[in-house]
Amino acid sequence: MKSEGPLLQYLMRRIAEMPPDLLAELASDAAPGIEAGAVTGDVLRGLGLLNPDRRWLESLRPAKLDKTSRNIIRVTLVGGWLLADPWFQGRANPAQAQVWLVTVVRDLAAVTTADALVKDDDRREELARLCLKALEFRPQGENAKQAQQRLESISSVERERVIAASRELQEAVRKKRAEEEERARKVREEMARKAAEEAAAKGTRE
Amino acid sequence: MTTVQAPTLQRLYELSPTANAESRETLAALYGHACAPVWNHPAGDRLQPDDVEQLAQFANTLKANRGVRASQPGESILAWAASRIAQSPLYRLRFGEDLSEHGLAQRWHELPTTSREDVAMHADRLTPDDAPLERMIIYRTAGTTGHALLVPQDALAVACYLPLLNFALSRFDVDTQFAPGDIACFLVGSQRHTVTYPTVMAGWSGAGFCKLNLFAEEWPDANADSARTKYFEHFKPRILTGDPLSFADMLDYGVGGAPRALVTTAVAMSAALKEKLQRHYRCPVIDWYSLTETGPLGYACPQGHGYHWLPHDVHLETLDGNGRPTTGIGEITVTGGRNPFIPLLRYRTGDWGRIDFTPCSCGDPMPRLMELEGRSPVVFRAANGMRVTTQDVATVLRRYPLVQHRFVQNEDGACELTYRTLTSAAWPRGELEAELRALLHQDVLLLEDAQLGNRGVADKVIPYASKMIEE
Repeated sequence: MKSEGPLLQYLMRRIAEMPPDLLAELASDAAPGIEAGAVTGDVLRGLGLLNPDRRWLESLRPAKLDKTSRNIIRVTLVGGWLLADPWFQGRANPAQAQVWLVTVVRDLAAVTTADALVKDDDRREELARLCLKALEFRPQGENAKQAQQRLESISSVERERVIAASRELQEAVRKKRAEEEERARKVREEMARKAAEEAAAKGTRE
Repeated sequence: MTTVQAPTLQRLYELSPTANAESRETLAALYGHACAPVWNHPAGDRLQPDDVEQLAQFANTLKANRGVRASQPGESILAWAASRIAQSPLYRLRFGEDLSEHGLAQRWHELPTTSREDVAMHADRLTPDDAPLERMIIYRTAGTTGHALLVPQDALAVACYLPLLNFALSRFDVDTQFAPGDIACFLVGSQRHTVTYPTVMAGWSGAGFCKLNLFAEEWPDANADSARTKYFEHFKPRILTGDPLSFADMLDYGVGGAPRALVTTAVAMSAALKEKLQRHYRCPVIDWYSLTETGPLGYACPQGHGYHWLPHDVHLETLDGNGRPTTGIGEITVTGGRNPFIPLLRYRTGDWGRIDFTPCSCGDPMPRLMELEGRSPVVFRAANGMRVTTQDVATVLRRYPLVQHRFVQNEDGACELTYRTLTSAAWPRGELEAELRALLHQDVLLLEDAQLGNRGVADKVIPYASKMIEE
């Protein structure tokens, strides 16, 4: 978060004002609708990216839509709408913007919905802050530390990451304990087996 | 463990894999001599050629690394300790996963201690992750400090006893250069039951070694005295190792050959017996301090100034009753050693003494254990008048899951065994009663005490005691 960005409220208002048309039904083989790949590609090209990732853009227009893919694409559209704000023109690194849309937005889609991102204050703030962080900006009036602390306090992605890390740690501990128990069992078996055999000759008494 | 089947010569050869033809001849001679005792156990040094090379390196390092020591462990011990903590599940739990050498050095005297109970009850979790299980061998001991133990060991670590013994012998000007045709040593016992075998030791250049029992029933003909004497006279072992009781019996039976040294365990030997042995055999009697869990730790200074700290790869310290380091008499506590299965970290031996770091006039720069509380030899009497040693009782006890015990014979001859068990599961208590009855020709009162040894300093368990007055 090296440079100062716009006011956070400005970006949150932008998200809240997302045109309902963009959250209409998505295009698929089954039915016409919003062509998310085309829309997102235009946003990135508008930021100055010459060749947005074609395969990824194609993946935003799947043959069939299910609940999960629909939410991911719609969240991507919300992120795209945010990036299309004029403030980012000439300021945002377009390659970083693409990475954010591909990865961070997808993580966000795993824990919230596109509708919530638009309608819920906290989720709007989270999306705006995540976007600024990814593009190495901080909200106007905040220093880097304040910006990070505020993001951590509201971030559902961060919360999910902490929970996942905790789960991973627990799993690692459980696995290690299981390995230790298995090793202890082998040691006990070996001791029992070897106790029945002769030991090696010793030169002195003890 | 005691086995009743005599080992075949072939099996004995197999257990000494590096023995050459001359060594095998020596072994065959020891095994098959007309006056040889009944052999009841197959044993050998089990060393492979790589082990023999490492053994020679150990001997060189032992000689090269003698020097002054401090109350704080040196760098090599700290590095070893850090690596063992990282590898042992029990130590990781007890000492913390990320204890560096620096952290160990800073906190050394505050670190938790370990004890025989850890070996008795948690050997499976004490064994490091990188210990090669396929090399494991097992020693059983009921021990003179009162815990029943199965001690995992490694043949190379056990073979390191020989360079340590050689070093002590060299301090008494005893020649320790051996050849395959020599008879290096007889380990002499004198008790109801003990394992016996002949072998050859790669650590002594393939020279012969026997573990013997002086008990009359162990010898071949009706005149056991004659067979025993002839066997010793024929082979003339250069060294005899044993304990005060067996050496006293050796004197009584008039056997021994012409040893150049007698090496006795640190079970306190009376000055009178020592002098008698020295006069009779015209050789030094060397006190030796060694435990099954630690291996040899000290040898008596040739000038009589305590016991010199023997291995270069252990750290010794003394702790008071509250576990704090003391410059006075304290519990001898060991870190280091060679046993890959039981890495000793601040291991409390149950023996007490003081460490003197001042230089000794004998020339060995290593510190000395002073006022080592020798474990006095205790002798029991069976109801029929026969002598029963602590080893005899230990041989019975070690077959049962006892963690700690106290065996006492009262003035009137009545015996009591107080014990703490390893397990809450059922065990054949009746069989133990029957075995003790058969050994002592009388009933032995068995008392369970779940807190035996757990009541702190005031409850130091004396595992064997006799209140009978011996004539």
